[in-house]
Amino acid sequence: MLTAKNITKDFTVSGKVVPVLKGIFLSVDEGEFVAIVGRSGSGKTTLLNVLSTLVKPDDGDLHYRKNDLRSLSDSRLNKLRQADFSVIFQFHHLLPYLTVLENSLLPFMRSMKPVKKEDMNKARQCLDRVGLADKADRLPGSLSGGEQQRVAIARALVKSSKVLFADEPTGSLDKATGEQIMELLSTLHQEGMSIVMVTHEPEYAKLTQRTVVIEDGLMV
Amino acid sequence: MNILTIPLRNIRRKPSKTMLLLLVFSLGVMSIVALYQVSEVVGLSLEKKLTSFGANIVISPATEKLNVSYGGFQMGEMFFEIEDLPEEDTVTAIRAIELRERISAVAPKLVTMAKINNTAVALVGVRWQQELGIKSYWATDGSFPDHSDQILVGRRAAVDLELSTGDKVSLLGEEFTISGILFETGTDDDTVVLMDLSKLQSLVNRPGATSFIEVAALCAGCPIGDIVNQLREQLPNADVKALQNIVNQRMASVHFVQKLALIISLVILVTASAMVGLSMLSAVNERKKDIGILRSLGYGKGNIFFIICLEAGLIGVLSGTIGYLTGYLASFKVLGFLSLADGATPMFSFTHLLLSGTVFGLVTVLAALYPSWKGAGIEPSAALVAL
Repeated sequence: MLTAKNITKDFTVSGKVVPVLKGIFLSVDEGEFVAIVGRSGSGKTTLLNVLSTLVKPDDGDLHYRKNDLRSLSDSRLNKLRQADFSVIFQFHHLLPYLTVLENSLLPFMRSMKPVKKEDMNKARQCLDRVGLADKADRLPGSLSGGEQQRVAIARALVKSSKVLFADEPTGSLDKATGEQIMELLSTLHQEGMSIVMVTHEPEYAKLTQRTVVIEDGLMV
Repeated sequence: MNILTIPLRNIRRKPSKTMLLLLVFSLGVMSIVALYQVSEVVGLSLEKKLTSFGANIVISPATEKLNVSYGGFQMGEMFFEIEDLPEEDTVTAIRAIELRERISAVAPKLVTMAKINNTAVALVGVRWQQELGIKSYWATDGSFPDHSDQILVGRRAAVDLELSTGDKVSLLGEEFTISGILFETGTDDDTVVLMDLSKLQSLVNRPGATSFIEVAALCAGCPIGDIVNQLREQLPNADVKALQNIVNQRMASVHFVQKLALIISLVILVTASAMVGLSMLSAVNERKKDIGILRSLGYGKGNIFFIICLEAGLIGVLSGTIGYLTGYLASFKVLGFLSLADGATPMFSFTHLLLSGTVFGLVTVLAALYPSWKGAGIEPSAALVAL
């Protein structure tokens, strides 16, 4: 479903070119749960950003369901991010001035058209599913880290994403909360969602179907 | 819940910053509105005051004149068929033009010659109320006539004829009392004797006749040429002349006040817009993270551009509305403080209120175009650096 071939990516830091990805080959099948592990600075987050189209690779092939992601226009990439892809980050990244419900409905608030009632109901159902139904009208600042991460997951659920990219989703959480999030991700995977997760926790990587190890910009 | 929710909620996120920006822009709009209102009122008031210093249009009977010389003898300019202007018809016609509201005074006159103590003198019949309306600079050592048997004598005429206030003189077979001697004006009024028009018409047996009519027109914002043209249409047999120097002088005074207000308004507008632009630019830099989140959710560059513009536009609309209302109220205070209103008051207009909200909304959107374009141009990868 999602294939990356010989992906390279350099960053320029203080005028010096730093190669971060040096030729990555990876494929993710429909409904697969893949963990990307590696030490800090190994390039795992950059790989996740490339796969989720947030960062453009310098070279290589990147395909999603017969679409060449490198040659897609900005508007087609936006459509892909709107419908098929969802990204959750280590620090949750919700808009702090929107309520929990509004944050989960952000994908449907792109125009002057009011959000449809059925999307609103779906968002409430998804929040209920992640255990936040009673906190729908609260601002993210009043929630715990785990709860905020669950809002980000609910947002992915509302738009029925096909692939969820998770960048260290448990990284900023305590053990118990991290386990709850992992349980939630496992459930989503069992329901058919493809998940690509970056983690540095080996025990969480074990819960996935396949673990990919990145070291110094290369797969080992 | 739609895209408008994002800027609306963000405005509420930093109330002190939003309030400060709103305050600065509202103050700018308030100053502009107050300046506009004050300049309008002052313009009208100035025009009224200037009008009281004389007429700016003269209507006289159409005449044909010929410079006659014969056998080396110069006879000067000879006039043919001088007819009087009928007072009632002419005044009615003047008051019937389309721009009649711009006419502040109509002062008919009949000029004839008479003798006082065997000395020839020009006798001018006037309607006192209208005449004093356009010659508020007149002053007398006595009083202005309030009876038809009273006359007012110009300073030089009084000196030449050795007349003083309270004297009785015989004119055209009737006796008149001098109610006052006019203080020197430096005009033709110094050499004439002025009396009630109806009385003079009856004495010379020319009922309803006038020699010419002076008209004072208010011209703040109206071309005097239009008034003259309309008068010519109404009075095809009369000669209508605008005293261009007077008109231009008055208009220059009025326009000066309005141009000054416009220049100050533009400076205020540019300064306030620059502040909005700077504030939006810093907001874009602060909100790279938000932009990154929105881009990761499939928000396109157009969506980001729209959100930032909308935020600026909301501040502009609010400032425009608040600024108009406070500016309108402030104009009363300014006019009262400077004692400039002279009876005129600022006008509240609901259309202007709507216009103010719309125009200043657009101005802030314009000021936010560059920050919006910069925000929209942030790639998700660049925004992710902030995440």
